[in-house]
Amino acid sequence: MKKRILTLMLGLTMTVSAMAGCSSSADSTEAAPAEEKAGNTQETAAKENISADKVTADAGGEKASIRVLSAMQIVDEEMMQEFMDANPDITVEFEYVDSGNYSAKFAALASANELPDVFWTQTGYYCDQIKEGLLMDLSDAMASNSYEGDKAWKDTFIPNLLTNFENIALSGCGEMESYDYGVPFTMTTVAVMYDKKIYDDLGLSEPETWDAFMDNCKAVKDAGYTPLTVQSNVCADWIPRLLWDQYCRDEIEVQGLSFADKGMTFEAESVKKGLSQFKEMWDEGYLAENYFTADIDTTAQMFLQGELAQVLIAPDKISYIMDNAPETMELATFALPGAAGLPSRSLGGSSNIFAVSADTKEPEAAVRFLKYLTSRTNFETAETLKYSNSGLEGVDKGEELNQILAGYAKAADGGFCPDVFVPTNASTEISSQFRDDLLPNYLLGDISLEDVCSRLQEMYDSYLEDL
Amino acid sequence: MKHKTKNSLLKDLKESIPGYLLVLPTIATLIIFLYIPFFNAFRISLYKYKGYGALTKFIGLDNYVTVLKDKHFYEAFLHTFELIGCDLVISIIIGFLLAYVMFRGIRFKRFFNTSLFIPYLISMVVVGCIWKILYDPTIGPLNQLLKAVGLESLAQAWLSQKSTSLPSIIITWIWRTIPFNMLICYANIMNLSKDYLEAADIDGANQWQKLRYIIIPHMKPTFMTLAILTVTNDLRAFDLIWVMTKGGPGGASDVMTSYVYSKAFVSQQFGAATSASIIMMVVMIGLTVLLQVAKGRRGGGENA
Repeated sequence: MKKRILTLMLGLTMTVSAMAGCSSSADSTEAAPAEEKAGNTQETAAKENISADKVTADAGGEKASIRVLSAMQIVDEEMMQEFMDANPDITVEFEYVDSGNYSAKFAALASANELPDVFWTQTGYYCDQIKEGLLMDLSDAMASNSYEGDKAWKDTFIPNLLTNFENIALSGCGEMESYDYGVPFTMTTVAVMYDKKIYDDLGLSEPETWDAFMDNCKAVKDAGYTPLTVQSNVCADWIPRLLWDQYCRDEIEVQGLSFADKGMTFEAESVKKGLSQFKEMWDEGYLAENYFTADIDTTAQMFLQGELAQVLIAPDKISYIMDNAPETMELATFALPGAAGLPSRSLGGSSNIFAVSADTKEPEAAVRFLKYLTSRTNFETAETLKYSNSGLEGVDKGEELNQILAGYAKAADGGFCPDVFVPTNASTEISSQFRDDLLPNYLLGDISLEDVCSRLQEMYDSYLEDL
Repeated sequence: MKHKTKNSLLKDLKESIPGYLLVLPTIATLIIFLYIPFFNAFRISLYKYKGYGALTKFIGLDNYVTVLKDKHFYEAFLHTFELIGCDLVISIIIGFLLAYVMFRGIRFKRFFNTSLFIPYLISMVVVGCIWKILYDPTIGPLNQLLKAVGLESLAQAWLSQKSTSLPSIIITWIWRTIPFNMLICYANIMNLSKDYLEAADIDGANQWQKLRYIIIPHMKPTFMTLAILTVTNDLRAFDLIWVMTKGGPGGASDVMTSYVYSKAFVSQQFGAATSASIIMMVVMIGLTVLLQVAKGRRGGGENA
């Protein structure tokens, strides 16, 4: 009998503990909507309702706490500290995830309703995030004072950058009341970085035309160097996109043909030409053998060890090369010439975006942080932003740096290819399939050009159906 | 009679209550952490879903059709079994041979014993990073070595070619698993009674005969255990592959786990990824049942 009572008690204890564990999680899930409601009311009311771990009292009153997620290495802990020092009423909890794993991280956070208050995003993701209602409308904030307070926040950006930025939302989401669901962070340009010494030894000069660029690639290849690669395998689609900007520009921008209404398709000759020219470069051996597998560290090492002659790279990724280049290396940059002889345009523009979560409990703190991130103050003080093009009015880098980064300035002067042009990056699904599956299989001879184009069209049709 | 049966049933039930109470927490845990997620996953597999937002676009079994039409899905399956097959044969054999050498006794036995086990102590991610550099076509020591010894024609982009990416990963994987197999084999050879070997010596058996007729039969249960561990471990292979190639180039080194992961978290096709994982689960259950049936028949035959 005693044994039975003991067993019963043991069983009951275990059941109750298990249920207690479950109920505590249930409590927290029930608490979440309450917090969300509070977040949507006035800010003061929201502050009263948010959980204790989000807001802690300090000597001067309540201290807001925000979480920031970045996939850009140039945004770092030090920058957060600078912000917190200048804004003691806000605490920033910072997390970095490399861009290759951003998608996984973001999806996990979003599905758990745990989105950070401020986060990095990019074209393909950005439009999906707007459509899913995950981003806060920043129109009012953009009209308010900038971080320095001397003019409206919106007016601190270079106008071309803002136009480019608004076009991302317009082309990806269609017409909306507001296009300010994020802010561009840095004006991203892509240019070719090379070691001037190799060029001088081989008697080469910066190419003005595509043919001259191909001749240079041949010369460096013959000299035993790997001629060209992109900064990492995540950017494997850059070269075809730059080629399409040349070959499809007439149809899309002059004749006004559109992929959306099927006036233009992936089976168009111009699209095929861009891809076949890319394959020619691969077949000629002008692209690195590890083009589809090298990450940014490997690429940087190849360049620094003098094995790689040229790398197509964005300025926010050059700091490792710049800081570790041996003395024998003389770095320089040039804008990639247009393959079809049209004026060269760069990729990027406003491709790096920071946004505020629609569910943030600390909208004011999040916006203030975002204003700081995109401020002159930040670009003039942060060491990691030394090589970045701020995209802001009135930020100067100094003569020496301007000389090295001349290629980026020239690329930006040429303007930007719209982010969704030949729409391989209209959605995450299409861009990842194109970059990780179709492109490598096409270059490695496993599928034909026709297969690539028809598969892209199939995916794009499915994307249009979902809109 | 009927009344008596009813009473005994009630009595049985009453006596079983403590037992049910004892298993209740486990059942609750299984329901919360296994069955509910599984049914949620099944539900997701019927929708077009990006991993966030509401489940709104019901598409029935389209995700299953998409996955079953995808040749990369079958390739990922095949690659997984290639990895398991190579690991089973090569890693266990080499592990056993190394253990046998240790058992026979060599100079600096302790040093070799420790140093051979080191690869197993290194994290899989670190192993992946190291071998990725070793295999690099431009700055990698492997190609540089081949060039230095005049075998330039053999130097190639190991991880960037379809024909070599999976074999390169398999070599790394085996390098990592050999020490574990060696250790288990060594521990079991050491358990072998010296009497058998001494008797064999008296009978004039040579080393090969002792290995063939005493040591290997003694090791058979160990090989079976290692085989089961290898299969279960290799089915979960992901980290090394993801670090080294992310399943590329063009899916050439994708295994089941990396296929599902990239579908879900890279392409954001959560519906398709979930349906792929459910299909894989069904196949795995089928395989397990087949193995059990085969094992049962063999056992029955032996008993008879």
